[in-house]
Amino acid sequence: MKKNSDKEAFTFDKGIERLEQIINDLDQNHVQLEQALELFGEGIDLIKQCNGLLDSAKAKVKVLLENGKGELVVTDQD
Amino acid sequence: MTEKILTVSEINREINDALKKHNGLWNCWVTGEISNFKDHIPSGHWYFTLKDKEAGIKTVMFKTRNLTAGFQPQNGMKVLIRGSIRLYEKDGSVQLYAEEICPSGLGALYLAFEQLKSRLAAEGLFAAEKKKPIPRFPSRVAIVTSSTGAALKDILHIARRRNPLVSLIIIPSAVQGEAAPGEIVRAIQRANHYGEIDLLIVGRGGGSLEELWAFNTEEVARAIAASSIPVVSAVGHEVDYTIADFVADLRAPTPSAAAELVIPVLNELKDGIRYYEEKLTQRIQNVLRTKRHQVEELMSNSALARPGWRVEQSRQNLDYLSTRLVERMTGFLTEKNDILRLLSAKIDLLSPLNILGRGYSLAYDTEGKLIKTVRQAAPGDALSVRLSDGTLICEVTDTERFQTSSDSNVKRGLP
Repeated sequence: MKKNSDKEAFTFDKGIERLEQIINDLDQNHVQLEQALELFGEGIDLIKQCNGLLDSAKAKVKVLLENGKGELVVTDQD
Repeated sequence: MTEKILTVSEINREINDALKKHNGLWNCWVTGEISNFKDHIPSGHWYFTLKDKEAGIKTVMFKTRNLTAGFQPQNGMKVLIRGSIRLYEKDGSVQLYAEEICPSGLGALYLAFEQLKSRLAAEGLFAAEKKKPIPRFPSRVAIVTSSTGAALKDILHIARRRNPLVSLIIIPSAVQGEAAPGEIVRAIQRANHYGEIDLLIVGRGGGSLEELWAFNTEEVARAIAASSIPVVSAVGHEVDYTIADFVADLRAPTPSAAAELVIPVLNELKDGIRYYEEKLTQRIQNVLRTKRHQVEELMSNSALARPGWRVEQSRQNLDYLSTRLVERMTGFLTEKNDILRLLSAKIDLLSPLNILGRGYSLAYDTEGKLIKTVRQAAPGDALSVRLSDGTLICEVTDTERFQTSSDSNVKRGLP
């Protein structure tokens, strides 16, 4: 049921989770310099993406209905 | 058969045994109206008669039981009682000993609730390990509720205020009445079928137990359990517990609380990201500082720190060797010198000059020839006599010759 939504779509949740992991990894003493810089770059990128999500346009309230044929119909509210 | 005569005690015991054998009387549910209610002081036991239009039964509810009743019975109140029918042997009356009591009307529902609850619990539907985690940052939240209810208004209002970026998807459903359970079930299924939903709020505002009843039905419970989207139940007021609450992944005490619980505040999210950014920068600086420190340490510890170090080291080695060389050479020479001194001392001992020191002397003729025999000199000859510290110039006045070796004995005897 969640085959498509699971596939690599960037979500805020995943972004934050990865950020926490990166920060954790950077805390390890044995991290290699190249790896550290790579992680840092990835982290900065994630922050940009997360901020992007928060700055995106207002989400709308929608209504999910079933029409006469049993199909799902989404309509905007208001 | 001859009639046996029983005592009152015996017949009462017989009656009690008969009651015990009858399972339906030993643990039963009875509904009726309260009359003659007495809250006995000081024992705290309740005594009343439970009756319907045609009949009545004496009822006792002991203090230990009635403490948890949750309400105070009154005459005329319809109640549902669980208890056992036993004989009070003192006066031979059959009584209902109440274990549980609840207001009736609600009574039947209450019973159904308890039965369904224990059945589903036994099935494991409420188990903690079945609970799906609630996403911390849902971006699409669906709400299964009445499109005209106060609950929806509350949720929308709070969600907008907290975070206008979260998409809200309303899935309208009746939440009370005959059709409600079926509609709620279909709405939950619809949400799962639609797919792009992170979280599902299922609920309604406050109401009577009957009005909330759809959320106590088995079909709704099973639909919630079957949902692959995490479900937050939000039914009624804080005090209302429904089966939906037990089976949901998270229970919100009210619809408003559900919105508060699951919709993250936008500004807090922004703060959160700032926090992560700070942390990230701080961590990379830590890493860089550590690495730099490692490099510095390496440099200060090795040849890298002083390029001339190796040369200096070699020079020091050389100095050491040359010092040792000089020392060895000196030692060698000193040793040879000592040998030389020893030898020359030995030679000294053999030197004739040395013998002169002991009082001997050497005589030479004028030509410098050593005089070894008297025959080499004659009176009037000049001789030079060598002593240890000088030479005497002498003149021979006479010569006396000793006997030859053959007459040495004579010579010895002479003096």
